[in-house]
Amino acid sequence: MNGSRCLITGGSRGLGLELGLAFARAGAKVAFTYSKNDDDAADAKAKIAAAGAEPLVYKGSVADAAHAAKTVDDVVARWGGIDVLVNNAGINQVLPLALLEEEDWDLVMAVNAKGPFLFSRAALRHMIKARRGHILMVGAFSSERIIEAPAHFAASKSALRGLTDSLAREVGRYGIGVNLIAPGLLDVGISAMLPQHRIDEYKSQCALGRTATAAEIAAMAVFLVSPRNSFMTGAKLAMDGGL
Amino acid sequence: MEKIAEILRKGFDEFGQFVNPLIAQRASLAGEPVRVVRTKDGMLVDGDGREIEDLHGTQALGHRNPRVAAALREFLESDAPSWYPSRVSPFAGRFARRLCERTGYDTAFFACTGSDAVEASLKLARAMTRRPRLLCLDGGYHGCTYGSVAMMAPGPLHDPFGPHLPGVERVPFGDVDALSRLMKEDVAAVVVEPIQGEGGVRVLPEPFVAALCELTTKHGALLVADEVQTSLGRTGRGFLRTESWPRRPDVVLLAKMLGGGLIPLSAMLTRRDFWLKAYGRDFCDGESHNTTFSYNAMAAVAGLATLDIITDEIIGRVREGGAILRRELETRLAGSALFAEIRGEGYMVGIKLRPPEHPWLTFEHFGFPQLAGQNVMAALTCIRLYRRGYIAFPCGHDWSLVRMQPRFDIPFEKLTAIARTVREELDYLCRLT
Repeated sequence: MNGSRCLITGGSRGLGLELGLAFARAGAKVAFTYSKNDDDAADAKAKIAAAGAEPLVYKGSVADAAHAAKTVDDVVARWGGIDVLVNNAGINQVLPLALLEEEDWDLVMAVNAKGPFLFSRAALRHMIKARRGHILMVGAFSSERIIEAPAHFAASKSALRGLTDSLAREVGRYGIGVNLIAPGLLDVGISAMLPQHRIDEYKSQCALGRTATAAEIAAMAVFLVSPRNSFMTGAKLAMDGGL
Repeated sequence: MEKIAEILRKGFDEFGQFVNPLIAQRASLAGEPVRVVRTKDGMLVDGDGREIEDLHGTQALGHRNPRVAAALREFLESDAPSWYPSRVSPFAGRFARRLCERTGYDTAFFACTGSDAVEASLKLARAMTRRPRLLCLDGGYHGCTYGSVAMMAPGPLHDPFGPHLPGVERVPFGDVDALSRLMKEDVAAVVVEPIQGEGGVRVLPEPFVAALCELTTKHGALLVADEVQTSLGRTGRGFLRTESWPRRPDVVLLAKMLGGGLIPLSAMLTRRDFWLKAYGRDFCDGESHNTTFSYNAMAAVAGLATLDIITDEIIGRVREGGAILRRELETRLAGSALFAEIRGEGYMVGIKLRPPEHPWLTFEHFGFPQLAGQNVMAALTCIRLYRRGYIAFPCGHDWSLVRMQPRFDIPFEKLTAIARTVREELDYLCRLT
């Protein structure tokens, strides 16, 4: 990934931060967005810098079209282009169907599905001109398996499958790869909100018998967005330890 | 010292990682306002600036009461010792005097938590009477030490810890006949809450209280009133709820807001002759029951400030506000298919709810088969209230009740808003059935 210009949404903590660190260690230039926590962003910035890449940092909601366009344009202005976009930002609410309100649905869909659309569209404008690039969607195993998951979250992550297929087909002609990685339960982020019995159940049904580390997912992501991945697009990789 | 802001930023996650992951997960799952980072006018404020009214009850004086904080600051700015190797603490002495003057008792033992105070009372009773049996009531909650747990209602707070303290027997709530049958000359004490909080905001019936007072006197057993929830004016009926009982309990236990919400503090109050009979035989006995920090000055300073705040006028205000809250709840919730009744006194209020008649509003459907059959309504109502900026909890032993214990200085108009909000949320839940 030497010199590869990468933008990660939701990069201040959890898997997003781990992706930034892995990219930086692989020699990439790293930019990331975050939505709220300035202190977390400052921490992430320092860690990624220590890993070898002084990152660009942008604050805003991924569901805000202006923020998406401005962020991508700024990255392009500073670095002369963008090679990699990782649509990582996501939220979850553990709500049973009965209590799931319209505003909950709209919020989760806005961040998890609309956000990747907005950032992908903004980045592809530049990638298509350059005739190269990688987009990586961070999905979830709840769109790959029949499991208990909040309906809006599962739906939003399933939407990324369609978005991945559609974009892969449309921009493949320009040499741009669009893939999706669907992690199983991780040791960070949204997974940590689950009750212990769900985590235990996951471990009991997973062939490897454990949750994944964010670093394991990041290692695969590095491959998927690197020049070594020259012929994989539209792929959906479930990294769930063998459910 | 680590910067406060840094702790507020990272400490919530560290709690889940290093203290109790299940508490952190439960709070997160239920949507409780967890990341509260400031206080304002007695309320909590979360990281997004949302104000949250805490109805749990422990912070009766409002979060971070300025008068208690000022007293503690004044003490810290002095050079007085906080802990006295001899245990003869002038601050504990002054606080005990003030408490005794306020309540009519004449001896105080201090500790940190309500459980500590309960434990002290059980040991006092056995040491004084040298009798083995201890009676308590079904549905009681007295804390989590071994003595307290022995008196706990069966369930997850009780069952894992057997064998329990021998000699403990439960009396069915309010059952005078059962109490009469169980009372013998070998009973050291009967421990009761004037109003059971976790048991469902159940006020001890007057006939039972009368029998309790009479039978404990007749059989020479100590009457212990666990007033951890009901004291300090919470019920609007005096500094102690037991002031209106036919006779003063032999032992009364205080905790929760006794330290002003800033310092853990509990107290056991009793009669001097009882204390001397238990522990006054010689110098060794004098320290038979003790804890290292029983008499620390910081806690006493917080307690003194709390006593200054809880005037008769404040208690009168609690009585008035409690009547408003109960009236508003009864009026506004009437007619809701999910509403059963309002219970309690003063600012100790329970809303009894009927279970919703729909399979998708059950613990089984939510993925908690181990809770099958439990009334889900209090939990659902609390989850909805969290979204509206209120923290309330189901009663621990009866999940059909939401318990509300506002701070004493809550503006009266907020009580109306609480009742209105509860009705709106019950209507919402009704529409799901």
